[in-house]
Amino acid sequence: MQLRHRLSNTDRGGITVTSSTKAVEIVGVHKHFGAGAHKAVALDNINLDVRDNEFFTLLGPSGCGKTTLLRIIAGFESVSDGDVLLYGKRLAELAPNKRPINTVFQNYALFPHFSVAENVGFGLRMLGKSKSEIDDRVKEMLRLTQLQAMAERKPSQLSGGQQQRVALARALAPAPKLLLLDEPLSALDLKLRHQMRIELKQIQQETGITFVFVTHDQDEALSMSDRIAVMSAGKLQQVGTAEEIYEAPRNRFVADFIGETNLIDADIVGGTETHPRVRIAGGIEMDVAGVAGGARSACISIRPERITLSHDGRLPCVVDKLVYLGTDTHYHVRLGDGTPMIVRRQNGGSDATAFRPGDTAGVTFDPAAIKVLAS
Amino acid sequence: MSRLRNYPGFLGMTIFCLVLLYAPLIIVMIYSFNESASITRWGGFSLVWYEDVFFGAESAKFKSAAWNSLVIAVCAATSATVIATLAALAMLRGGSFRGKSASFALINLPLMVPEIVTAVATLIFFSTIGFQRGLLTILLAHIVFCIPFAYLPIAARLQGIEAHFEQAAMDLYASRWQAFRLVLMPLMMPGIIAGFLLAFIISLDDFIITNFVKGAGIETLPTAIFGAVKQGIKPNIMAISTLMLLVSVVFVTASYFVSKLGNQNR
Amino acid sequence: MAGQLPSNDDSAAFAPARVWLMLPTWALIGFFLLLPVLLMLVYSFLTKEFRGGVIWEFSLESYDRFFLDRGLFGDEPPKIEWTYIGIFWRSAWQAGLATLLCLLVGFPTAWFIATRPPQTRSIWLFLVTIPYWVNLLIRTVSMKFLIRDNGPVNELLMALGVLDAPFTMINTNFAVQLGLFYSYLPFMVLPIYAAVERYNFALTEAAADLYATRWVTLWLIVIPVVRPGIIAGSILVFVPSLGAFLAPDLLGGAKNWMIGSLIEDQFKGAAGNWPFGAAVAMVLLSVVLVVLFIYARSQTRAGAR
Repeated sequence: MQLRHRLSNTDRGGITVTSSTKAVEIVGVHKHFGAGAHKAVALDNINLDVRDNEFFTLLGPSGCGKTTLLRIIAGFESVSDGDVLLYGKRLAELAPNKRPINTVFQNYALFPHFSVAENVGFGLRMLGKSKSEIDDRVKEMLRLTQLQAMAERKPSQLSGGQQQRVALARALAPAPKLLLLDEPLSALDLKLRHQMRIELKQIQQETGITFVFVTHDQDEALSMSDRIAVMSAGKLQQVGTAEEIYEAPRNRFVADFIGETNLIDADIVGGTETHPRVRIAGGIEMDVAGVAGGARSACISIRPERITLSHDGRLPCVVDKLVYLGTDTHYHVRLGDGTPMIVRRQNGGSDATAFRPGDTAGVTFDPAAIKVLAS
Repeated sequence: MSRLRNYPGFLGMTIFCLVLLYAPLIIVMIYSFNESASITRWGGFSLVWYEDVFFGAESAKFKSAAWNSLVIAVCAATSATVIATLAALAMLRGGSFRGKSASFALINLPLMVPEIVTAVATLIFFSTIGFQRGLLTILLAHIVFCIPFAYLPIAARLQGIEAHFEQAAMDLYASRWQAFRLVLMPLMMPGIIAGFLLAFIISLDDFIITNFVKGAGIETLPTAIFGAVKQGIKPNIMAISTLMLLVSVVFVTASYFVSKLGNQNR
Repeated sequence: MAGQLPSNDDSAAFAPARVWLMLPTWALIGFFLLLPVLLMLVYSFLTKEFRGGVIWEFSLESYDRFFLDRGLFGDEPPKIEWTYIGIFWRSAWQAGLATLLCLLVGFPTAWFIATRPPQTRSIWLFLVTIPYWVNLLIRTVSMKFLIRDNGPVNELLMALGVLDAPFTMINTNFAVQLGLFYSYLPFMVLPIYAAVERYNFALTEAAADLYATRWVTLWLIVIPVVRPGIIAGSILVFVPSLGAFLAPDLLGGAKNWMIGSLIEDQFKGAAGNWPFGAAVAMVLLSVVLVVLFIYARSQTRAGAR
C-alpha cells in the first residue's frame, strides 16, 4: 500500500486518482480491421468497468478480442467506435507515452542492449526523474521481484522466469495507475507459472495497483482474479467473480469454456419462469434454478464433480471408458437415451467402488447442481 | 499502432532518395529519344539513335563489344554458379572440417578486396606468368569475383532447407546422389537461379577489372562505353545506356519473381 | 553470416565429398586472386623498369616515394611526402562523407519502406533495388550528363531564374561526392532495411508505454537494436567509395584524384610505374582490411554477448 503513493505522478496525462471506484470504463467499444468485404470485427460493443485496486482478468480463447481490448487501453490500437475512460478521463486522444498505464508484454519486449537495471529504470528516465530517485526506485523494484543479483545483466543472460520478472518490475517502476498484463505467463513452464501466479497476486496486493490481466488459461484466471470478464468472438459473455463464473455460467459458451462440464439438452415440462421443471434424458424430472424464458427446451450444465456414479444411481447408464488423471478419474458414461456424460470421481477410495468399461451403473445429481443456460 | 512507426520527414527522405536515384537515369532515357544530334537541345521524339546503335558507323564496335560481354557473362555466371553450389554443399552439408573458416574467408575474399586492387593484382599476375591477355583472362577474372555473389543466395537458400528432407529421402531408400538430385537440388533451385542472375549481372556490369585485364583491341560493352564517353557523351551512348537499363530491369524483375516463387514452394 | 552454421551430424551428408566440392573454389580463388595479391605485395618491393614492367631487384623505392620526400634529386634529408598521403586523406574524407550522407538519407528510407504494409512494401523495395542492379558506369555517366555546365540541372535552374550563368559542378570535389553518394546509396538502404524488418516493434511499444517519445525511442531503442544493419551498410558504402575509380575519373576530372585514380595512372595512364602502383594498392588494401577486421571483431563480440 505504501508503494503506490511514493511517486507523485499527477503530471502524466493529468489523471489523478479520485474517490471514484471505477479505474477503467469501457463504453460501447467497437473495433474492426480492414473495410468492405475484408472487414473483420474484433470487438463488438464492449461495455465494461474495472474497479480501482482490482485484479481484473480478460479471459477467452485466442482470437476473442481480449488482446485487442488490452492494446486499446494501452493506446497501441484505436477504437472504431466508443470510449475508454481512465478514472473518468477519456483516453482516446492520449498517446501511449502519455498514459499513466504500463504494460507487461507477452514476450516481455525487454530492450536487449540495456541491462536489467536500465530496463527497469527506463520509464522513470523518460519521466525525467532524478538519477537518485531512479536508482532508489529500481532497487526497490528489483527487491520486490527478487532480482537484486541480476541488476547488471543483459536480458539475454536471464532465464525465462527472470525475464518475466524484469518485465514486471519495469512496468511497475513508474507506479502506473493501471498495469496491463498480456499473457505474461504463457512462455513459462508449468511449475514456474504456478509460482508466478502467487507472486503476481501478492505484488498486486502489495502495490495496490489495478491489474488488467489477459489470458486464455482459465486456471490462471480463476486462481488470481478478483473479477473475470469472459470474452468470445469479440463479444463480452459474462463478467463476475471466479465463483460466479464457475458456478453460475450465464450461457453455453461460458459453461463450456470455464472448467469441464456436461452440456445436455433438456425439455422444459413445467414449473415457473424462475424455477422451471426440466426432464433430463427422457427420464427424471427436476425443479431447478435458472431462467427458462418460456422456451420448450433448454441447455443445462452439470459439472462432472457434482455427479455421483454408483450401482444404485437414479439414472441408469453404461460406462464407456475411464481416463485416469492422478487425483481423480473421469468416467465417460452413456445414459439410457444415448446422451454422453462425464463423471469425476476422486481417487483414493477402495477399489470395490471402481467401475470398468461395459459395467452398468447409475448417475445421481442434486437439482442445485443443474444450471439452465441462456441459449 | 501507426503513429509509433511513422516519423515526420521520413516519407520526404524516401522520395528524395528515389528522385536522386532515378532522375539521372530517366533524363538520360528521355534524351536517348532526342532527334537532335546536340545533347542539350530537344529536337523532337525519334528513334534515330537506336538505329545508329544497331546500324550506324560505330555499330560494329558496339555489337562485338556486346557479344563479348554476353559470352563472358554467360560463361562466368554458369561456372561461378556451379562452383558456388558445390562450395555451399561442402560448407553447409559437409560437417565441420579443418580449414572451414579459411575456406569461408576465401569465398568472400573477392568481396573484401577493393575492385581496383583485384584488377591490379590480376594484371600483375597474368603479365608475370606471361599469359596472353584476351577474352580468356577476362573470363577467369570474372569467374573468380562472381563466385561470392553466386554463393550468397545459394548458401542462404541451403541454410533454410532442413536436413530432414534428405534424411527422409534416404530413409526411403534413395542413394545419396538420388537424395541430392531428386530432393535437395529442386529445393535449392530458387537459390541457384538467383545466384546465377546475380553473377550474370555482376559480370555484365564490371568495368574496372575488365579494363585492366582485357587485351588490346578487345572490348566489352562497359569498356567500349567508357572509351566513347572519354570523347564526350554522344546521344548513341544514351541509347545504349537505356538498352542496358532495360536489361537490368528485366533481371531484377526475374530475380524478384524467382525468389517469390521460392518462398511459395517452401 | 551465411555458411557459418554450427555443424552437427544432421548437416554432414556431404562430408565424404567435401574436399572435392571445395576444390574448384580453393583452386580458382587461390590461384587467381590470393596468389595475385601476394604477387602484388612482392611487386611493390621491386624496381621499376622504364615502361611498365619491373626489374626483379629488391627495392624500398615505392614505399619511400609514397611516404617520404627527399627533394628533387633525392639527396635532401627526408621529409614526409604529403602528395600521396593527401590523396589518401581526401579519399577517406570523401568516402566518410558519402557514408554519412548515405546514412542520413538511407536510414529514413529503409525505415519508411520496412514499416509499409506488406503489399506496398515490396513495391517500394523493388524501386530501391533497381538502381542497385543498374550498371555503375551508366549511372555515373548519367550523373555526368545531368550536372554538366549546360546539362539539364543548370538549364532548369536558369530557366527558373535561380541562376544567371551555369553553376559549375562537374570536375569539382562536390561532383565526386555527389557521384559517390549517388552510386552507393542503395548499398546503405538494403542492409538497414533488412535489420529494420527484423526489428521487434513490441520494443517500440514498450518504450512508448514507458513514456518515451517517438524520437527518444528512435535514438535510445531503435538505432542501438538495428545497429548491425547500420554498420553493415556503412561498410558497404565506405569500402567501395574509398577505392572508387569511376566517380573521380568521370565526375572529378584531372584535379580531384582519389586513390583509385592514382593506382590506375600507374598501370594504364602516363605514369607507368608498376611497383609504385602495387605499393599504393597495398596501402589501400591494408586500410580496407583493418576496417573489415575491426568490423569482424565487433561482430564476434556482439555475437558472444
